Amino acid sequence: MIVFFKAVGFCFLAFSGFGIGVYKSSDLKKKRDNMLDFCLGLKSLAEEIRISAEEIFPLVKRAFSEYSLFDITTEKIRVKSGAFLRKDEEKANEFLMQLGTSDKKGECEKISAYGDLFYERYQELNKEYGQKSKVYKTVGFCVGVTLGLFII
Amino acid sequence: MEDLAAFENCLYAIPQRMKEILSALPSGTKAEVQEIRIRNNLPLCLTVKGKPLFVLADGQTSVFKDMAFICNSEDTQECLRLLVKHSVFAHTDEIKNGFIRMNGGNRAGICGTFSADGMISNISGINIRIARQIIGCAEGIYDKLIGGILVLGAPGSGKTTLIRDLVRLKSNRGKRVSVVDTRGEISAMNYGVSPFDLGANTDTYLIENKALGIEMALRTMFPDVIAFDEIGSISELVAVKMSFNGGAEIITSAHIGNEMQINDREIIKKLLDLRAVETVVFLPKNIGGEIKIKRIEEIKNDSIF
Repeated sequence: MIVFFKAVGFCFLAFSGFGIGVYKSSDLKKKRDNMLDFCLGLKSLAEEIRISAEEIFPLVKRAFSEYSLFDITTEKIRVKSGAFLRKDEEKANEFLMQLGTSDKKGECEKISAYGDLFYERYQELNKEYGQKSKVYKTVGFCVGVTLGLFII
Repeated sequence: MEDLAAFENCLYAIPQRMKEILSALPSGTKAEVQEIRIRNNLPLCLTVKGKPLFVLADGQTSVFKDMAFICNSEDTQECLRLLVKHSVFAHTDEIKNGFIRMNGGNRAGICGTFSADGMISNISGINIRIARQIIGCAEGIYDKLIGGILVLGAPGSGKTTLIRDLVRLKSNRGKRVSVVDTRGEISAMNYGVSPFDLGANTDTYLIENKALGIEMALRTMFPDVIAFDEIGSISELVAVKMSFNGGAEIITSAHIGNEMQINDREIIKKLLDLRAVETVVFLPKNIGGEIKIKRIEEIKNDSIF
């Protein structure tokens, strides 16, 4: 009976560790995908600003198909907490703070400059995901197994 | 009630700390506010019945500036951000002309340093003018007005309000009216809809170039009456002549301090010479003063002309 419980506990820990690894990996994937959506949205936003006479809030809603990325109030647009890595979130909010403060040309140039920056970050995140995805899962599983063995 | 709504309609552009103070104003004052003036390092000021009133920190008003709430440069900048709804790029043309159209037909004048390309920096002050429609304000004089109408008066005397009601009356009495609006003063048009009652038979152009707007209206809308605010250029005079020759009456306005100043305003003299105007309405500087209506012959016979 004790052996059975030990086996169950071992499996539980091993799978929990693996689960945490999978979660970390999928979180990184989600943040990478969000960054790609953000980059694509920026391209649409620049186009919307160029051709439209509307104000920033409706344009953001239209440009970003995934505008669930944002907290939009009547006074400000901010990236939702957890949508990106912390440093990317700060950069994105810094960009959003500056949005709408210049004329059309200035806005398009600003979006283009930040767009390049965010696309670089997307590429880094993509690379990071390729490298870390398996590592997270493997390390999670190994930590689970080690803990399981230690308890046994 | 509508007067209060007009005041509250413009509060979206007021920075939070001032909004709380203005919200605490007595209802009677709110209903009569014509302008809200925000200036760097100067008291928050209202124009009520044509006179300045300073706002105190507790929401009361005073004719004395001591103890008044002082605005700072952050307030004016925040006000501008709120006015353009964080979208300077969508209001560039307006800013170049020193104003921003607001919700509900209100308009904000911006004062500051303008660069050669028309962009503004170092905003020094903002004046929010609250537009109110006074339905029926022209009814008392309507029957005395014949042909083209020129409304003269000092700034804030109600020229635009009178024109708006004349448009409504003419339109509802079977005339096709075209309104040529540069800053939305008459129609307050927003996304193709006017919040004001301009009558059942009125078409509105929101166009920077008034002369072009008059031409467009003449060619496409076949109006009986063309109304526009503040005639001021020779090209507009030419368009008025074209309109007169085309059979459309005009209703327009011009700034003037008093009747004697007709002599000093070349554009008014030329407009009267065109004979496109038959009636001139002089609005008093102060609310409640006497409105004078004169035929063009009377003016020409007067020694002042």
